[in-house]
Amino acid sequence: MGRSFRIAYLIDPRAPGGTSSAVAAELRAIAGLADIRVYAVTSKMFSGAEISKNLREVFDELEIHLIWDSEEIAADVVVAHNLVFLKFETEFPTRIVTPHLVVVVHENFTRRGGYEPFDVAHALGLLARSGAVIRRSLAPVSAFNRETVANWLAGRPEANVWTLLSEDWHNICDHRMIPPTSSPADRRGRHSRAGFEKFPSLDAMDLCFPETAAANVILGADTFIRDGIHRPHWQMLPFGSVELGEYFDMIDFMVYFCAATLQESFGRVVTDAIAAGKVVITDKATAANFGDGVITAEPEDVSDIVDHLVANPSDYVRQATDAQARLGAFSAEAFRARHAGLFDRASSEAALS
Amino acid sequence: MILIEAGARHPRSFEGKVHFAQLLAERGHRVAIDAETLPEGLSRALRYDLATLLANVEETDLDAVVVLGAEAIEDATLSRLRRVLLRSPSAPIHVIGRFDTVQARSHARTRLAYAIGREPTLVDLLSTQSGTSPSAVASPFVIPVAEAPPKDLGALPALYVIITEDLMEEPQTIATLGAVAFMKGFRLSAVVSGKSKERIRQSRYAGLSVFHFSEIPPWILAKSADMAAFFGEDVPGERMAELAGLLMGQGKPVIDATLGAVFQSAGAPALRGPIDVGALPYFLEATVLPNAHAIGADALKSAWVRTRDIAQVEARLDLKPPPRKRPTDSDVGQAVFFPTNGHGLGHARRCALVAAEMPKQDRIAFAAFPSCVGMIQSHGYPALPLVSRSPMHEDNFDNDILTERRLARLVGPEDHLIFDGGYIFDSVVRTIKRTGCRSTWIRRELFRPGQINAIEAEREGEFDRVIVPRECFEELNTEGGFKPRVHPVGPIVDILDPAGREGERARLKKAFERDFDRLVVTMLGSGTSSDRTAQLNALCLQLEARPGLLHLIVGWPGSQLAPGLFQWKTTRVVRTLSSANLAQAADFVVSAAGYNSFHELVYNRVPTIFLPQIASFLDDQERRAAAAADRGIGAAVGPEDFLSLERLVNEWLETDQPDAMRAELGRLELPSPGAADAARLIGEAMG
Repeated sequence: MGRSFRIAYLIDPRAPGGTSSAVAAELRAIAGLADIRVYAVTSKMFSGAEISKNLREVFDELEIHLIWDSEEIAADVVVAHNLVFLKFETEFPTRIVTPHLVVVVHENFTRRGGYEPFDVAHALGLLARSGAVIRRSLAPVSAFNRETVANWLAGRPEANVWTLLSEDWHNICDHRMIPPTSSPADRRGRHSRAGFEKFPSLDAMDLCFPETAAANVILGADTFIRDGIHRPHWQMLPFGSVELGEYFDMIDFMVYFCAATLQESFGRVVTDAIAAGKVVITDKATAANFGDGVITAEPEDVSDIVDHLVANPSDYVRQATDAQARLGAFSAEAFRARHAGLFDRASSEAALS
Repeated sequence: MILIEAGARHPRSFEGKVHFAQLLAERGHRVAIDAETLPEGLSRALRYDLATLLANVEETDLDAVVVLGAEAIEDATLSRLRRVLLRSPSAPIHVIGRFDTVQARSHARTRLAYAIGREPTLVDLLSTQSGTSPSAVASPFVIPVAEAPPKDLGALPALYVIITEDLMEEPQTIATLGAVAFMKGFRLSAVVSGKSKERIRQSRYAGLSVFHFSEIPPWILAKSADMAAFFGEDVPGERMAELAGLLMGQGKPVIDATLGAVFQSAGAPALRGPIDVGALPYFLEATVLPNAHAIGADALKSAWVRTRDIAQVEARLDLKPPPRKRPTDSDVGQAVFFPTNGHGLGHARRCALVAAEMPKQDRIAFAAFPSCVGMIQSHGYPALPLVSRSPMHEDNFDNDILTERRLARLVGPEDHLIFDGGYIFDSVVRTIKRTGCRSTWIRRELFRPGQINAIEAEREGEFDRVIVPRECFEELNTEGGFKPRVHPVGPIVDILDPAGREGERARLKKAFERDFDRLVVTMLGSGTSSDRTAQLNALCLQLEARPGLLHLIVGWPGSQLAPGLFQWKTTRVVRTLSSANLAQAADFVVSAAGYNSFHELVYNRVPTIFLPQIASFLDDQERRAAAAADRGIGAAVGPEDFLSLERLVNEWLETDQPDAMRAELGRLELPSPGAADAARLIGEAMG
């Protein structure tokens, strides 16, 4: 009997927010498929941060022992999640030996306006130059994310060592589905990391979270708190200060707009809310991954939409339930089926030949 | 309005943005610095600069925002911009920085774009500027670049010698500097650390023109300098590096006499010079002065200068400076008199007397403190009111910051600023340097021993001319030897028509409904420097019982007079701007011995008992009083000598001594008054 198929994950486990949540769900999804090792990098990007809570839990659960800053990573497949953690590194001394290196992109390669959010070529270059790799793949997390990566690659012939995986590497949403309330109230909220990019202008925030609402819960409001933004009708909570379940108990509508210069590559916060049985109202670009599962709007339209659904609870329930049905596309089963070829030796070798 | 912001919240970054803002303001842009970003412990010079720049930007419509030092944008800056831009959602954002990697550039752009929800325009100085900065700088190190170097450096070019602290600590440096300053062909000012400046002040070279590094901002220094030489290990900080850049941008010679040739190493078009300060005059004479134009022209052609041209940044950021106002016929220069209020109205009266002698009466303006404004206006001149010092101000120069702003409205490059006062305010020096206007200092002398203070000695060199109104008695004048820029003139004094005396007495009899036959006038000052209430009360008491006598206590409007002085029957309190008329009408006067009062009394032949003020910061009034007493035209009494005062007053009332003195005064030969000469000197300078 041959040795088991080995998958190595390359991450900085201190990354907060969506990437860590996605990796945690992914580790659970493929736990039985292969021998998993997790190689941790202490990048400058997350210097001083703690290991993300989601990941800590899954490492305990799966008895995964982190291997920090290893000189070498050798596996049948190496999956590097979100290469943005390499953006401040001047070198990457770890030697990667694998037939297939997959970089799960997470971040869009270009922002709205066409500018790179970080030096993509530099980060990819660090990985491309490290060790012995036969195949290097870029795995986008959504259709829009794929578009930015494809456009980026098209303009850079020097990056032809990288190929685009044919299937999106979507975030796995393994949430427990909670039925929506049948008596929604005008209780609004939003949750995200505290970064500026996750928030629209203050004017837009005021439209989304007005005094007339029964509740406005802003989880991840660290910058508003720090800057002394005075909104007595907002409940401003620092990122990570309450459990998501507790936060979702306080709201019926997730109203999520981000900076006009940011397009979410996947929108994990949206899946969190849908799974919690909430109606999500967001901008058209963020909604793209979720079809009719979310309601698209401009900030000035939000109150009318909320008023309508509060007055028509059956519409509210229908919207929330339909959305949950759509989350099946992001399930662990769907992920395993989509990437089955990557996680066993025969398919993997066939792909390389 | 263009908001200039810095990525980092650090005093150095703040200073960098003020410097850049000033350069833009000088080019006609309307710029603002966010008052919310003011750091603690600002230097005095920076506070003057900020007076025209600080704004409540949340309440301001912004046309653009320029963020400097974008390689290190802090969250606090981003938060602030988010808030500030709520009012100006369409104002373009520009970021300027030095990005040593693509990642640094992407990072800065992305952080800003995320924070404000718009894409900024980005300027990477590392890729646009040739060479390097001779010192680490927080500002963009851009410079206005002249089309051509100055035609010539003038007869006496201003040379700034910048010396590092380590070189100043060497024992021979101050002496060498002192010797070099006396050599012909240039006017030297040293720019050194605050500590070294203090050492120079304590040395035998106290009269050297010297500034400390942060005393005058580089953009103002650069206007008044014709050339500069840098000595020591390196460039002493970014202000001095900016100064060098600004001079090179104007095509003025910059001499790199640093040990490490730091300017040359940075690729800057500075001329390598001798590292020894003592060799500088020979280098200037042999190399720099004969070739100054060519040196300047070479600098202007260099890539180092051209790639730092502020016009290029303006073009990149689409910041169009408003068109310069073309000179019109009404832009002919005017004489702007700025008298301090001192402890009376002496300075303002002197200026008014000089102004009255000037030929072009429609080209005269005044800037004056409120106590003097009425008097000046009574002479028919416009007076821009200034703000006086107040204990309500946090620092004792706060009002002077406002003075500079008001002077900026009144004084242009074509004008002539005439300052009359003992202490030369920063606002005066800055106005002269900033506008390049001609300047005259009217400065009386008769210092107390050791009183020639450092500031006077240091700042005298800022003026094109110094006019010294002489004392009427020769032994009171200082014979300071030959000083080409110092012009003594006769005493500046208001001489009344002697025939007016009887008319004035008649007027007073009518005004006070008192048919007096003896009139005593007491003028003991404004009460600011010394409280003379006890002496005044003693006089009032002494004169109260005398029939047929009127005693007038005369003060300026605004002088401090105790309420109790109003209770006497024989005494009346008069506040007036024309005390000379009252004094002339008196049988005798009891007076302090300030320059104006003393000379008015002597020239108008008024017998006087002098009670000199003896405050250490005033002139030597005791010597004036003694000179009058020695000539038998007055008496001198110590301010605390109540018995002598009482005895003298009784004696003068009961004998004909005042008449004898008046006769003696009539025989006295006095120098011709100097107001007309002073006016002529100012007129000559104005052209």
